[in-house]
Amino acid sequence: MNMEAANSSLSSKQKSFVFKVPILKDIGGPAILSIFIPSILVFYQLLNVDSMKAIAAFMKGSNFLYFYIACLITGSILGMLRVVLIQGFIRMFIPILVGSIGSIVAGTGAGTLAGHEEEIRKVRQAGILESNDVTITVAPGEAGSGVFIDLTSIVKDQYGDAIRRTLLDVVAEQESRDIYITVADRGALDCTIRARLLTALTRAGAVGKKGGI
Amino acid sequence: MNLRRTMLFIPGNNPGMLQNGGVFGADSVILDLEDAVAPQEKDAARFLVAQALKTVDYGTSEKVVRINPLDTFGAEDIQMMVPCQPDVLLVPKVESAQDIEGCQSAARSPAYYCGAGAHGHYSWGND
Repeated sequence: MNMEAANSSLSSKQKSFVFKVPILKDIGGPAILSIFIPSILVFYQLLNVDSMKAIAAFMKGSNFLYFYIACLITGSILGMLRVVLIQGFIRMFIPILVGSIGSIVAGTGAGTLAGHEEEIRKVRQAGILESNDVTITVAPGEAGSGVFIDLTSIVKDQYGDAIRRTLLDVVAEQESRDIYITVADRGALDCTIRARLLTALTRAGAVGKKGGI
Repeated sequence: MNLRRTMLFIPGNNPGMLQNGGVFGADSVILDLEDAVAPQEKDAARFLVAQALKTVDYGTSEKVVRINPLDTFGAEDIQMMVPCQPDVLLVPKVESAQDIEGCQSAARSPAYYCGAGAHGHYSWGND
């Protein structure tokens, strides 16, 4: 009895502040404030950095957040009246089932029909960011856009033009067009650049095929 | 047949090592497509080794390519390596004559054994 009294007095004290604020009192102030005030504290860095790290480690690092969300959902479902729960489930069951089956059929059907198209419209990568290697990403460009090369290299001033020429040679050999090529070079030799671009094009399904990728 | 006192294994998907493989003067350089290459990078290594065979100067070293067993990526390796004219294809995990015959027919070129190495490796070449 005493405990209950203490609880109610505490919650009324907490609520009393929020429910007196003009607009907030009408739109569920406590919930809004409990979300936004911590966000503001973090955004303006009003919280101690170490506290933030500790909270992030607990909530995210140890995945406590997932447990909390699961509890929240389960709790709100189990908190409903049994009769409402059963009636609601009976009404919702058939629409949900029909909706799920419908979306599975529609999604699979669209994917199957567009499957071939998808195969030659991939973004693919080859090579790693290591010295003497080069990372090349190829992506389909819009029709008629031609070959676009986005080059970053530690030797761009010295060999930028030569690298572009090599790339364009390979693209021309494979008769690909309308490609967006992203190149992150770490001093790769000509043969490495050729090999990596050929790998990326093959992975994208563009080698030996005429036309765009 | 050349002496094979020193055989330098070079990972097939490492451009930095492939381009410098010739400087040590080993009797053979073995460009490895098998053990040194992760399964999802086999395609990348094949292109890289093919380009290396065409362009990198391995001096007097015998150019060997260690391919994958035929039951994994071997056929694709042979198909792509033979036109690049390595001196030797090194076949791993050979357990029977059929394995070598399979490789020969995959290569579709007259070839003969030229030596059996350790670990059940057999190799042949056109020399």
